[in-house]
Amino acid sequence: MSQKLLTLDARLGLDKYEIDEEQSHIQVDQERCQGCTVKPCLTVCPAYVYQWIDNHVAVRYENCLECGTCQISCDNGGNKGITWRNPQGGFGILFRYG
Amino acid sequence: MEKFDVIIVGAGPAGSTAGFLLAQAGLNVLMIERGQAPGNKNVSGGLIYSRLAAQIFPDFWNSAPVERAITTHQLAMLSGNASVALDFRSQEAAQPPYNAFSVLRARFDPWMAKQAEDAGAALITGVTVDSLLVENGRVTGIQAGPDQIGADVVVVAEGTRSLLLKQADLREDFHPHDVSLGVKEIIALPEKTIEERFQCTPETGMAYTFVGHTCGIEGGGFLYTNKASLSLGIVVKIDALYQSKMQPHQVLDEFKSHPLVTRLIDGGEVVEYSAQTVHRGGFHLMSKLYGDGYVVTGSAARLLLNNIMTLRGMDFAMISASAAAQAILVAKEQDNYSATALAAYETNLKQTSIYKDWQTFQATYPLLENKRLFDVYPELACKVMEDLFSPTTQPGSKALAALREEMKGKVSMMDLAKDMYQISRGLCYEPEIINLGCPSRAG
Repeated sequence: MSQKLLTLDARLGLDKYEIDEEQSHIQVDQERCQGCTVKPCLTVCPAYVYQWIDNHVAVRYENCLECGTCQISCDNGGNKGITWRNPQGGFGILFRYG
Repeated sequence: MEKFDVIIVGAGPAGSTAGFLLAQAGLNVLMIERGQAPGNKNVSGGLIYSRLAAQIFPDFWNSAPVERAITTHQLAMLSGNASVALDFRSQEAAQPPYNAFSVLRARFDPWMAKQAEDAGAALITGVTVDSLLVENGRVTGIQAGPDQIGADVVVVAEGTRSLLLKQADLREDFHPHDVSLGVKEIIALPEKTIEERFQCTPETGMAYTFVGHTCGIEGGGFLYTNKASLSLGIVVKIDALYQSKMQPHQVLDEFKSHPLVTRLIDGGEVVEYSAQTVHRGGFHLMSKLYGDGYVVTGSAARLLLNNIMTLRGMDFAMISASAAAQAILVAKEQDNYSATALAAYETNLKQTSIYKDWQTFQATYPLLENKRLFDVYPELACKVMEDLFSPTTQPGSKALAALREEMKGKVSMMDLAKDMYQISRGLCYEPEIINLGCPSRAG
């Protein structure tokens, strides 16, 4: 009866999204990111949107839960490489419970 | 350019309250919500405290989709595999005006927005406001895609991220030290199981606040009973989180692995995973509330009250929107929407009980930064209880001796004394008393 541990991706798979296939609402300045020693975004994002792959930040924007943690920790803690905007109207996460 | 008396950005508790009150007073109000429906983008723990909310929407519990009336509050300190708890139960909270309700925002927020619409406000959903229109330092409307819409006043009610104000350079930067991340799961459980497990009726429920077992990161956990699900989550300080190198879901999993938590969610099925930033709150962190042609309400202005026992965002948002609406109505009468006229909003807010609570609990804020409270003390409390409740083959000791023994190498007597003072100052004494010759800094 005990709860089985869900992987993060399995958890994200439970959520409903309206994915904007055309554009990402998150922009990163790779030069700034390369010069960032802390890279808080790789740790703080609850959806693991930011990953360090081949010497650059890969952004899985389609998984974003729109919490805002990345921007706050990048602005004061990282190297101000992230520009996070609201997705276009109607797109992004759609919480069914909230 | 199309023009309204008031444009409200965001149809959450603040936005819908402002929309409801202003439309009711006959103003021409447009509410703009970026979710496909109100609530789509919103996450709370979520408890809404009913007394202030009922000032805006009397007897809202009769028609709003609330989950359960919370009649049991438990504050539990967790160590690795033990817990010590304070349990408060009251049947008073099972009848009007109640005390708190668990709510799910995707259900609750549409109800509030509907009240505003029924009062005459126009609501458009699925539209993201890209920026505020600013002319000579005065906010004159909003830009959404190619559309520009004008307004005498813009009510910024866009929630914790407060992006519009950031873009327009109308607010200070938020610091990771002052913001926490909440990560939450909705765990489905049959109603019957919830009622048996949490000893409640079909209408009532339970709220847990947990301290400890968050990987040593300042913050805590919560568990609220909904009708047929549990809201389970952690709230952790963002700077401490990235310093810990732990990912949020790992901290959540660690928290869920505690035997007490595991038992409470046993057999449940996770049906949603969500996250939200939570401002630390405290009136020294309150954002600028108004300027020429605009007011800022709710979480966008960092209006949040956290005194460990209660974390209040929704009712604070509603009360702030109500204070703003009163100021806007006077501004409308005088046809003056300058910062000087809208300053009445802050004056109104300062008269409210929740603002006064902020002052009362200002000494609580240093507590939220005291790391020992989140790792050493829960562990100590459980150890001392274990000593007291568990006779062994060795001679036992009284509480204080047991405490001394357990404190060795973890916390000094001096630190303990200081922390006890901080805790009692934060939660027990009246501010008038604590202001007398107090050695530690105020919040």
